[in-house]
Amino acid sequence: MKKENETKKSVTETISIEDKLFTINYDHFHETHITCIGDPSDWEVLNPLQWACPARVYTKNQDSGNLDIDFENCIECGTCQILCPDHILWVYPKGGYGIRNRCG
Amino acid sequence: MNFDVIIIGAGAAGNAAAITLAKGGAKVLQIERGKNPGEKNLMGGIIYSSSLEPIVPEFWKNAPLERSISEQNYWVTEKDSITKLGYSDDVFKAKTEAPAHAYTVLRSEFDKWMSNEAKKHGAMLLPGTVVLDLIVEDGKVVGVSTDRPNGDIRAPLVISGEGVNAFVSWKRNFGTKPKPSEVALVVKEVIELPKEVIEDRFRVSKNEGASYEIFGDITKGCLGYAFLYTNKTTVSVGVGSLVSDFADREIASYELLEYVKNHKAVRPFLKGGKTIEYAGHLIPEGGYKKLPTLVSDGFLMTGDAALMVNAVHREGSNFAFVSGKLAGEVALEAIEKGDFSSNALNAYRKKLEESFILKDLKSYEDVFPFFRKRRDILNEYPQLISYAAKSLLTVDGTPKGEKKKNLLKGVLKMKSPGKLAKDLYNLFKVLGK
Repeated sequence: MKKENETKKSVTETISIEDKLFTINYDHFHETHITCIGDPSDWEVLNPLQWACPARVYTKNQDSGNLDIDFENCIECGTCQILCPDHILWVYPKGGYGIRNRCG
Repeated sequence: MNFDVIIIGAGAAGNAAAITLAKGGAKVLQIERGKNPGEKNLMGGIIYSSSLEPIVPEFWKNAPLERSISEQNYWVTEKDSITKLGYSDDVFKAKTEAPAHAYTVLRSEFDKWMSNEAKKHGAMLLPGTVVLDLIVEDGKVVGVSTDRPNGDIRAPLVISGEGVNAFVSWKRNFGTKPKPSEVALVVKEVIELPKEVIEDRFRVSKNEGASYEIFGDITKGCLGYAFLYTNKTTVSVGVGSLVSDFADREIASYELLEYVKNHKAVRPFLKGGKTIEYAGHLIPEGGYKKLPTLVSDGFLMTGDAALMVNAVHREGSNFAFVSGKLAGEVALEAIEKGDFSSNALNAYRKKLEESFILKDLKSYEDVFPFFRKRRDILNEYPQLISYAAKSLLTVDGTPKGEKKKNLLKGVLKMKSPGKLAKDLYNLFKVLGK
C-alpha cells in the first residue's frame, strides 16, 4: 500500500472532506464526465446534491448563483444521477481514468 | 477474434461468471473500466467462504484475505449509552484443511486476484474500457459498443456484472434507475494501525478479526448503520444510509462519518490511527419487488446490477459470487447447444429461484418498505432497549421486584401494550417470512 497519500492528521482529529479527498488516488482525464443538463440555478432541485454528494463535487457559485461542478473531486458513486436525473448527466469517466482505489 | 460470451465488469459477479465460463472451456472476453480490476470497487467488506469455495476451490490458500471473522457484534447506541450483543464461536474459525466462515477483504487487491484466476483459466481481460451500450439486432443482444475507437465487439451472449450503476442495462430497459429511497450511500475510511494494536483493541488473535455493526443514535436518525471491520494492519470504518435520507435531512455523509469515528462506541478502537483511504459507493436496496429483467435474448444480469443484495444481513458479495457462477453455468449450456434465446437462458432464473438468492430476496421483500414507513421503530426501540438495560443494571437500593415493576411501567409509558404488541407482530411478520 502506498503511503504518500495518507493525511497527516490522526484519525481522532476531525478530518475535513478536503483531507479525505487528499487520500484518494486519481488519474484525471482532461474532460469532465459530469454535465448540468438542467437549469444550473434551480436550487429547489439542486440543493440536495450539496448534501448527498460524498465528495463535495457540487457547490453554489457565490457570484453567479449557479451550480459549480468540480468533477476532479468525484469518487464515482453515482449518487448525483440518482438524485437529480433531469439536471445532472453523470457518466463513467473515460476508461482507465478517474479514481484508482488502493484499498477499496 | 471470436468470443462465446462478453462479460461487462470485473467485480465479484463478473469474475465469478468469467472463472466458471473459462474453466468450462468457453471463449470469454471480460471488459473492465478500471485500469486494473478492483480499482473502481468498494465494499465494507466481508466475503463468505461458502459462496466463494465452489468457484475457486481452496481460495483461502492464495487469495489476499485480511482476517477471518470469528466474532460478530451488534451494538445499539444512545446518546450516553451502548447496549452490546456479540457472538463468537470456534465454528467460525479456520481449520487445518477448511476455510473460516468469513473473511474481511480489501476489494482492490481481492478483485485483482480473482480476475487473475479467470485469466489463468483462459479468460481474456480488456481493462481501461467503458462499455457504452449493447448492440441489439432483431431484439437480440449480439454484442457491446465501447469507448475505444472502432470499439464494437460482438458475441452471441452478454452477461452484465456492471454493478449498481447499470447504465448499459438501463439504457435498454433491462431494469431502471433506482429512486433515491431505493439505494444506500456508504462512505468508508481505511485507517492504518499497528497489527498488535488491532489485535489488542479488538481482543483477537493473529489472523483473526471481528465485525461490529452499530445502530441507534450513531446514524443521527438516518435509516442505516455504522460498521467497523478489522483488516490485517488497517480497520475499515464506515456508515451507510439511504440517499434520500442524506438529501432530505441535509446531513453530509462525510460529516456523519466524522461523527461515527468520534462516537464513544468507535473512537477508542481508532485512536492514533491514520486514514489512508476515503471512498464511497452505492448499494441497491430495491429488493425483490424491483428486480429487473434478469434474462433476455442473448443477455443475463448478475450481482448489484440485478439488485442482488440483502442489506439487512450485509450480504452482497455472496449474492454476486453465486449469481455470477449460476449465470456462467447456464451460459456454458447455451454455448454447448448454440441456443442463446431467452427461453434457453431462463434456466438462470430457475437456478436463482432454487438457490438462497431469490428465496432470501423474496422473504425480505417487505423489510425495507416496512422500515422506510416505520422509521420510528429504529429510533424508539434503541431508546427502549437502553432504558431496560439501564433500569435492570443500576444498583441503587431499589428491591429487584420493584425494579421490574417500574421497568414494565416505564416501558409501557414509552409504548402502549397495544402498540408494543402490534410492532412486535409486524416485525415478526416481515422478518420471519
